[in-house]
This record gives sequence, C-alpha cells and structure tokens, in this order.
Amino acid sequence: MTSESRADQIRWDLVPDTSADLFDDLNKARDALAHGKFAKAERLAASLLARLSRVSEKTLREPAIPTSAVRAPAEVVVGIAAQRQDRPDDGTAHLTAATLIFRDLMEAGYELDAASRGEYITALLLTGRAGSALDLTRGTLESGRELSPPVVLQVAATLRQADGAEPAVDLLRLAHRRQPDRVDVTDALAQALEEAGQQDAAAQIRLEAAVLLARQGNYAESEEHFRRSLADAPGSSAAMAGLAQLLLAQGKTEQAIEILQLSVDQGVSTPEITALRAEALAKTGEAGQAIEVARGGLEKFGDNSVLVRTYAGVLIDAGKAEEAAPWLERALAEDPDDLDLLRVKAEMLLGLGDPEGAIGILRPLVLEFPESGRHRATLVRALIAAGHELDASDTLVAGLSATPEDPALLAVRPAVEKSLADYVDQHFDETENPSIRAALERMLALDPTNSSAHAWLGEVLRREGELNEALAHLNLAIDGTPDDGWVVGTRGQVLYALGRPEALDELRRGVELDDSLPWLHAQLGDAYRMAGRYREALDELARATTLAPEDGWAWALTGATQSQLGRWEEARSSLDKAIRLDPGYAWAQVVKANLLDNLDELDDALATVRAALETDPRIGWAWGLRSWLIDLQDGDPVEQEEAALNALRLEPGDIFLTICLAEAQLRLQRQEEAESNFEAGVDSAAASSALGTDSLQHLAWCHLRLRNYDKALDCLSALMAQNYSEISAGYDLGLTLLCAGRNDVALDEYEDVARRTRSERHAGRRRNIVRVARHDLQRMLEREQIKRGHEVERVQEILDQALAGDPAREAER
Amino acid sequence: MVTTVLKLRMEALAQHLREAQDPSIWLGSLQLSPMPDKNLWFKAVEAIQREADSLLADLEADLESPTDDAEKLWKDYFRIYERSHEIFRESLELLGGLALRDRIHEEYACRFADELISECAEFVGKPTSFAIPATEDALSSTLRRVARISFPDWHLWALPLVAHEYGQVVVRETASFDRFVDELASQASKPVLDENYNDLKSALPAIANSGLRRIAHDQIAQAELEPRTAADKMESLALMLRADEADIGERAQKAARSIKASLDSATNQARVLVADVFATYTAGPAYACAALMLRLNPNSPPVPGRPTDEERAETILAVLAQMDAATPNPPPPFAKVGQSLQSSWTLLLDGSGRHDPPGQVHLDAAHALSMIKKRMLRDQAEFTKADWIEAESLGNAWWIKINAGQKPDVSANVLPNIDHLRLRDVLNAAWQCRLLVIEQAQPEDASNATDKVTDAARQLCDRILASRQALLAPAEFGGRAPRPGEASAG
Repeated sequence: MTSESRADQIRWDLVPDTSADLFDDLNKARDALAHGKFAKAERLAASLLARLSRVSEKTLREPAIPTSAVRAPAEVVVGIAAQRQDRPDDGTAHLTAATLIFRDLMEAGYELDAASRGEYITALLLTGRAGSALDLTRGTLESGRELSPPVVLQVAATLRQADGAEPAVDLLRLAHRRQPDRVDVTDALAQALEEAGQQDAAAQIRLEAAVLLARQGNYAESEEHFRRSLADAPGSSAAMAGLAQLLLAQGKTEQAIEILQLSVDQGVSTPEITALRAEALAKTGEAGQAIEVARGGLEKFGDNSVLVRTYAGVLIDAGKAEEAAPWLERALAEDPDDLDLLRVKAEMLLGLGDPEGAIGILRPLVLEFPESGRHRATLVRALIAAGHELDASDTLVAGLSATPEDPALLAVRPAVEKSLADYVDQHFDETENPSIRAALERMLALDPTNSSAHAWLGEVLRREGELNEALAHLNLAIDGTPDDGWVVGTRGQVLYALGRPEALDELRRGVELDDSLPWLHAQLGDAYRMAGRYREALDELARATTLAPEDGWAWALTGATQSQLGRWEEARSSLDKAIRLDPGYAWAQVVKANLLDNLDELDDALATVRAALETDPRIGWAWGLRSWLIDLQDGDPVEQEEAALNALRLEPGDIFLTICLAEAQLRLQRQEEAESNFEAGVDSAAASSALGTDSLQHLAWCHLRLRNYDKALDCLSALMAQNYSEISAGYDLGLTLLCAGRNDVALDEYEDVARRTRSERHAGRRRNIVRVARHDLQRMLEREQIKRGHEVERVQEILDQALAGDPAREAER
Repeated sequence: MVTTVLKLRMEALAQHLREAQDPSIWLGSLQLSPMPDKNLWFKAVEAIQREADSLLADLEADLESPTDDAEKLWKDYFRIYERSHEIFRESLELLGGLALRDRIHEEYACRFADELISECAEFVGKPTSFAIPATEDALSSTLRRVARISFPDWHLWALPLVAHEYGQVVVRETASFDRFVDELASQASKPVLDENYNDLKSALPAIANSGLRRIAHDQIAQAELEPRTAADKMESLALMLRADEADIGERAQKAARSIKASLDSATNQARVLVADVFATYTAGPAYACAALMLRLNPNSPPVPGRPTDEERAETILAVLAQMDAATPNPPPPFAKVGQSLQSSWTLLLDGSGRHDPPGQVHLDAAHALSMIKKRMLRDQAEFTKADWIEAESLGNAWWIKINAGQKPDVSANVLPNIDHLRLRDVLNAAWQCRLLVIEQAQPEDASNATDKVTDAARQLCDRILASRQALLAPAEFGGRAPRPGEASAG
C-alpha cells in the first residue's frame, strides 16, 4: 500500500468519539503486558493497530486527539515485540507494523514527540534496520529536536557491534554536544573513545563531565568520573587536582590527602595541587605543615595567585590573620575581583573579629553569585558571628533550596541550628520578642522534624493565643518525644485553654512524666480548680509554690482556690503575695477584689478592681465585679452601666454580666431595657448545656426580676438541694418567697438561712452575705408589691441583727 | 497515780477525736470509685466534726485544768468518752457503708435512694444527701446527715423508706418544723414537766435564804414558759442550791435529768412522726406500703424515744386519708390502697395479740400535713391523685403482662417519654402491681411475679436516672486563669 492510498484510507476514517474506547483498550493492553499476559496483549494491540490505521491525517491534526493516542499503541507493540524476541516472527510482524505507523505518521506531516521518535527508532533497530535508525537518530539530533539519550545509546551500541567504535564515537559526540551534562552519554562516549584507542580524549571527556557534575552538586557521579579519568590518564594533574578539590569539598579530607600524596609520589606538582595539599592539611589541623607546604609552593612557583590565596587562607585558619593580610592584599591587587580571594579576605576579617566587614564583602558576592556555596557558607558564619541568627538562617535556607547537597552549606548548617537554638534558649522568656517565633520557624525550615523546635513554637503560639496552631506543633513534638513532661504539659495547657475535656488528664500525665515543673503543677491546679476539685487543686498549687516560691501566678491561683474553699484569710495572704511578686498580673488583683467584696471590704474591693482594670482592661468579669460593687454601694448608676457594657463587650452573653447591666438600667429607670436584658439572661442560660452553680443562681435572679416566681423557686430549690454551701442562694430563696406572697414560708427560710449564716466563721464574710441579702430585699421592697406585715418586719429584723452581729461572739472570734 | 492514768486516757481520747475531726482522711484511704460528691460529704460529716470539735475543746480544757478534783475529771472523762464513742461509731458506720456500697456488684438500691433523696431535697430547697447500707438502728442518727438503707430490706421495695430518713433531716434543719416538733414534745412532756415543777415548788418554802428562794421561783417560772430551756434552767438551779440547800439541789438535779429525758424522748418521737407525714406526702402510697408491709412491726418491743409502730402506722394511714380528703373531686384516690393497708395492719395487730399502749406524743395528722404542705417550695412535692392514677395504671399494665406469663416491657418502645416520671412514680407503680400480685396471683407464682415487677421497676428507674442531669458544674469563678503574658488574657 502506497502512502497515498494509505492516506486515502485514512481520510474516511476515525471519528473522535471512538478515542475513549481506544484508550480503554490501550490501558487493557498495557495491563496485560505488565502482567505477562502476552496473548491478550497481542490481541488488544492488533485491534488497536487496526483501528489506528484508520486515523486520518485530518483527525491527527485535531487537538481532541492527543499525541499519546497515536504513540501509545506503537509503544505497546514495541513492548510486545521486545518481550517476544523468542518468537521473532510475531515480534517482527508487530514491530514492522509499528514502524509503518510511525513512518506513515511522519509522512503525513505529523510531528512525533521525543518518546515516539524513541519508539520508532527502537522498532527500527529491533527489525534490523540499523541504518534507518542511525539516520533518524542523527537527523533528530542535528535538527535540535529532543531524543531520549537511552535511545541514542541503543543506536550507538548497535553501531559499535555492527561497524566498530568510530561511527558510534561520531554519533555520541553529536549527542554529547547536545546534552553535555548527561553522564550516561559522556560515559558511553568515553568508552567508545577508549575502544577506539583515544585514551587521552576519553580522559578529557570524563574530566569535563566530572567538573560539570561537581558544579551541579552531583558529587558522587563527579567523583566517579574523576577517578575514571585518572584511570585513563594516570598522571593527569588536572584530574588529580579536580578529584582532590571535590573530596575536600565533601569533607573527605583524608582521601583528598591520599590523592594529593599520590600526585607528589608520582612527581606531579602544580601550584594548584600544592595549594590543595596545604588546604587539606589545614583542614586536618596540621596548620604548621599547611603553612610550610604553601610557603614551599610559593618558593617553588613564585607568587602564584592560587598559592598566595591559599597561603593567606591557611594563615587565617591558623589564627594568623594579620600575617595573612599582606599576602591577601597582594593577591587581590593582582585580581581584585577574584571571588575566592574575596572569600578568603572575608574569612580573614572574621578571624580578626570583624564579622560586619566580612558581611560587607560577602553579601554582594552572594547576591551576584547565588550558587556559590562556599561564599554563602562564609557569609552565614559571619552573620552568626555578628549576632544576625535569623539572617544567617535565611541565607542558608536560600542556598540549600538551590543546592541541597552543597557540602559547604551542609557543613555550616549545624552552626546555624545551634545559633538559633541558643538564641531561643536565651530569649525564650521575652514574651513580646517576635524574633523567638521567627527563629523557631527557621529552625523548622532547616529541619521539619525538630521536635524541640515544634515544642518551643507550640509554646510561643500558645502565648500568642494561636491555640490551634500551637496544638498542631505540640502534636508533632509529642510524636518525636512522647515522654517529655514539658511537651505533654504544654499540650495540656493548650487543650485547657481550648476548653477541651481531655486537658486535665493530659496535664496530669505531664506531671507524672516530670514533676519538677512549677508551672505545670500550677496549671494542673487551675484545671482542678475549674473542675471544682479544690483540694486536689491546692495540693498541686502547693507543689508549684514550693518549687517556685516567687511565682506570682501560682500564688494567685492558690488564693483563688482558697477563696472558693472559704479559707478567706489564707486567700488574702496568698493573693497579697501574688500581687507583690507580679504587680502586672491583673487577674490576681481582680481575685483579690473579689475576695475583698466577699469579706465586705467594699471600698477596697472597688479600688482594687479599678486598679486591676487600669493594668489590664481585657478582663470581662473584672468589669462585671466593678459594676456589681457600684450597685451594692448605691454608687453612680451611669458608671455601673458603663462597666457592665464593657464587660459584655468582652464576654457577650454572660448571664452575670447581663444582670449587672439590667440592674444598672433599673436604677436608671429604664425598666423595659432592663426586662429585655433579664430575658436575655434567661435565654443565655437556656443556651448553655450545663449550668454552674453561679449561673443557676443568676438564672433564678432573672426569673425573680421578671416575676416568674415559680421558675425562680425551681432554680433555687434545685440549687439549694445540690449545693449546700451557697448560703446566699438561701436568701434569694427567702426573697423569692416574699415576692411570691408566701411570707410565712419566706420567714421560715430567712430564719434557716440566718442560722446557717452564723456557721460562717469569718465575720466579714457573714456581714457581706447579710449585706447583700438586705440590699436585695431593699431593692425589691422599693419596686415590687410585697405584702407588708409582721413577717417582712421580722425578716428585716433578722437581717439587721445579723448585720450588727453578736458583739460577744465577735469579740470571742 | 489515778490522775496520771486519767491524763493518759484523756490524751489518747483527744488524739482519737483529733482524727475524727476530719473523717475525710479516712475517706481518702478508701479509694472509692466514684468518690461521693465533696459538698455532700462535708455536709454529711459536718455535725460529726462539730461534735468532735466541741468534745476535744472540753477535753483539752480538762487536760490543762490545774484542778485536782479527780472525781470531777473522771466524770467529765466518762461523759466525753461516751459521746466520743458515738462519734466513732457514726464515722465507722458511714465509712463502712460507703465502702460496702462501693464494693457491691451492680449496686442499685443506694443509687436509686440518692435520686429519691435528691427529689425530696428539691421539694424543700434543702441540701440533698446520700444513702449508705447500714443495719437498722432504733434511733436515727443525730450526727451524720446520711440516709440508711437498712440491711434486711436492702432492695427496691424498701426504697420509699428513704423518704422518711431524709424527712428526719429536713425536720431537724427547718426552723418551722423544729418549732413544731418542740411544741409537740412540750405538750407530750407536760405531765412529766409539771410533776417535776410541782415537786420543786413544794420544796421551795424550805429554802432559808429568801433571795435564793426568789431566784429559784423565777427559774421554775421561766422553765414553765420555755420548755426548750427547762432542763438547763433546772441544771443551773441545782448548781445554785448545791452548797446551801443540798437536798433541794439534788431534787433540782433530778428534775433536770427527768425533764431532759422526757423532752429528748418526746422530741425524737415527734420527729419520727413528722418525718412519716413528710414521707407519706412526698412518696405517696409506696411509702405507706413499704412501712406497713415491710418495716413496722406490732410485735416489736417499745423503745424509749421512739414512737410505737402502731402510732406510726396510724399516722401514715391518717395522712393518706387526709390527702384523700383534700382531693377536690371524688373518688378519693388513696382510699382503696389505704383500706387494703389498714386491713392488713389490723390483721397483723390482731395476729400479734397485743396492742401497744398509746405513745407519749400525739400527732394531729391534719395539722402536721398542713404544716408540711405549707413549707414545700414546689407544687410537685405532693404525690397527687394524678400521680397515683398514672402509677396505678402502669402497675395494672405490668400485672396484666405478668398474669399472661410475660415480662412487663418498660423499654423506650413501650414507654418512649419518661421525662415527666420520677422515681417515686415507678416505686408506686411497682407497689400497686405487687399488691395485685398478693391479691390475685397463685401462691406458687407470687415469688416469680414479684421478681418480674422488681426487674421492670429497676429498668425503668435506671432509664430515669440515665436521663437526669449530673450534679451542677462547679462555680465558674474567674474563669480559667490566664498565665501572665498570655495573649488571650481574660
């Protein structure tokens, strides 16, 4: 069939919508081939070929048909043929078919891609048409089109077998020119040259390849080429120098010295080799010998610039920077732009304690020649010496991202990591220092598996309030160090701040792993406190304050817990200590204000909470306490309202703060707004899944203010039943009963609760409980239609008596 | 030598009392799981601590006293020793009960009892309590605030009795009930008190010193006005007369002891009876059934300070009748169960062949009931006609199933909505069903049928408990304390 007739046949043919089927069959054929099911693969391939033969030129140019649709069946066929070499008839038939397809395609003007060309050439080779394969390969290379190097090597190997090394050398030179960095091509060319008896040329080719590979950072391949180049030309000073330099760069100093010694033994001596020997000796700590070798070289070879710079370098390494200076200047005078000399000068300045001077030299060089690892490494060291740890880290990371295997950069990496770690270690307590976080992020950029850095960063993020990010880093840190109490405890802290229920267990585990961390005991104590486990809280806090007696936070927590246990005077003492130790910790002041409120020292309480809010106005409940204290002392209702509004801005929806606002509004005669807020208080309580004892009492108050007496009674009776210690709830209960018109029962309740109040040992606390009860009663009497009678009078009498106290009893106390 | 031995004993006793001041130390070593709620625990042992505190103070004062009056010191020692032993016994019973409760596999009686107590506590707005298994005492504890489930009746059927135990706590802790009990006790003790006053008054003319005579007269008059302080008044009168009028002083001392014993006994009796009223009112016929069919015993010997079982049964039945009478629309809901219990009790009494003499205290059930009602904070406190109709209907349905040889089904499929149910409703349903078993089941089937009722009631109680919210969260004081330097302060 001629190409025209085939083209004619093609012209009527394939509709695009069959392409999907074609791909399906193609994939099946590939799969069959991969699993060794040759018969099936052949059947599918034959079908594909038949269908492919119908592909028209026009369709081929349609962008809807991808190149692979054409190329792939041929690739499969070639694969089958390769597998079926034991059955040459079948293989040949398929390969022939494949070559025909490719030929038709090319003749039809279709531009084969590199892979298809490779398949075509392979098929030609396998069908014994080496000449056509060589022509096609040469044509492809000469035209500058891409071709897979293995294909070229296959053709060259066929040529070497058939026609000897010479034709292969030509083809491989062509390929080498096209892709000088391909090791396999270079290697094949060198081998072909060796076979052709051109050892020197082979050695030269390998040397060039070695240098190229070294520049690319492919040191292993480079070393191999240097060694083979040396094998081809054993006395090659260039190969020896190159190999030694490479070994030195990789830190293989001993091997470098061996090579250099070999060169000396063989009588090969050049300024470069001498310089390298000096450099190698310097690296092994033989500074004196290094200086001697370099000086000897200078004597032998005169003021060779390489030797001058090496001499200067070894002098610098030996701590003789001043002695090195004139040599360096001499070398620089000769070649002021020599990169290596400039680097050495920078080293000299570093040695002279002038890292900024070194930075001044190196920074522009690194900008101009970013790929130079040695310059960058020296700059990194200079930056560390100048205290620019972050800059050093950034400079190193930029270099490593371009050349990850650069030995000079790898060599300086531990120093950078250490400098960052040292920086973090020294400045970690500077909570406002943003560089800590930056340093940790750089540590992780250098080593993403650094557990310590994850842990530290987790703590920094916790301090900054980025809790979820902190948790992610701490999780990674725990993966690396699962039994580190500090890390587990810090994770516990984050979980606690996130309000996660597993926090308590995590903190406890942290303490089990490491019981020497005062902050961890304190945090666990706070978690116990919030869980209502006050005695366990105090145990932990006692450990915290024993380990860190000057920790104001732990004392503040101790005071808060003692307050909640009603150990008022102990609480006062702890809180005073906390405030003295850390006057800037506003939370402690607010707890103290709350304590003073509880102990009926109302003026001091208000002054303390005002001071706390000046220190830190972000504590919502402090504003609430301020509003409450103003209310209790019949202070300015406008200030009372403002304080409540501030509180609610910080903690919207809080029921107590909502009550503070509503009470202020009542005092300002804004009844409707107040009622609306009491309703909001009821709604916010309804929205919460579990109410605390305080919240339940507040909910009852909202109901009381809204005259929902039954609901208020429900709340208060539940509260009284479950929490016996809440005496103030008993007074609220009495008040609710009064408002509900059940005066006789109210009186009974007031009598009961007054009796219980007497069991409170602290006179101030007793007074405050009664003061609040009297204040509430007074407010209700002013506003509500409470049925007056002997019961109300008796209640007032009970409260007045309780407020006055029993003088004899007070004296006794 | 005598004094040395005494001092040694006093010191040892003081050491034991110091330990008893905080029974939490022992509680901690029990390693219970779960531990009782801390608030409840402290409330439960509050009185023990207070008593230990006071005895210790007395003992320490004696130890530091320079007196050589060995007789007085020995007397003091024995007084404190006896009281101390009550404290130790209470502590032991409390801790033993808790330990036992913790170790019993699938313990349910105490869990259900806790919930019943909690229900009652909310009715009156008083602190709740918890239950422990214990042997039955003649007298309820005055020290610990814990309900007992007594050993022989340690099962579902005796649970309503917990309402009585908690009722005694409520009576002690409520001013109006306390006054009411005092009034009842004063009334009941009046003959004894009057006899003693008259005896003393007749002796007064013999007092030579007119001033002393006048004071003695005033003391007696004040004691007559305030029976609560009468024993103390007689005690101080005895002290005053001891030197100059030893005989009359001795008579005053005797009167003090007699008055105190009579008032204490009457007070205890009154408390028990008022607690019966409380329990019947809040737990309904289930309490009456548990008390009359399981607990009260006409054959039991009279115990000082304890009303007779006959009196208690009368009180309980009278309260049921009063609750019937207060129901606006006929038929009276509790009449049938009341009559059934009455006839059973009468049979028991007749069978025992003995009728107890009337007790010291006479309780007007109607008046007591109105007192109780008035003091309740919630409408739901009363076990009403509607509650009984629902319980009856549930119990009847169970009986139909059991009578058909099946088990009552209390799963969510049959009873999807149990939000309105309380444990007392289930116990009443169970008792209603059991009464039907007693009346209608063949004797050989009765035991099996009762087991089925028990299982159904237990399952339903468990469902109710599971739907209840846990104890309140702790007070959210100050929120989480930010660490200094934290960005998210507040």
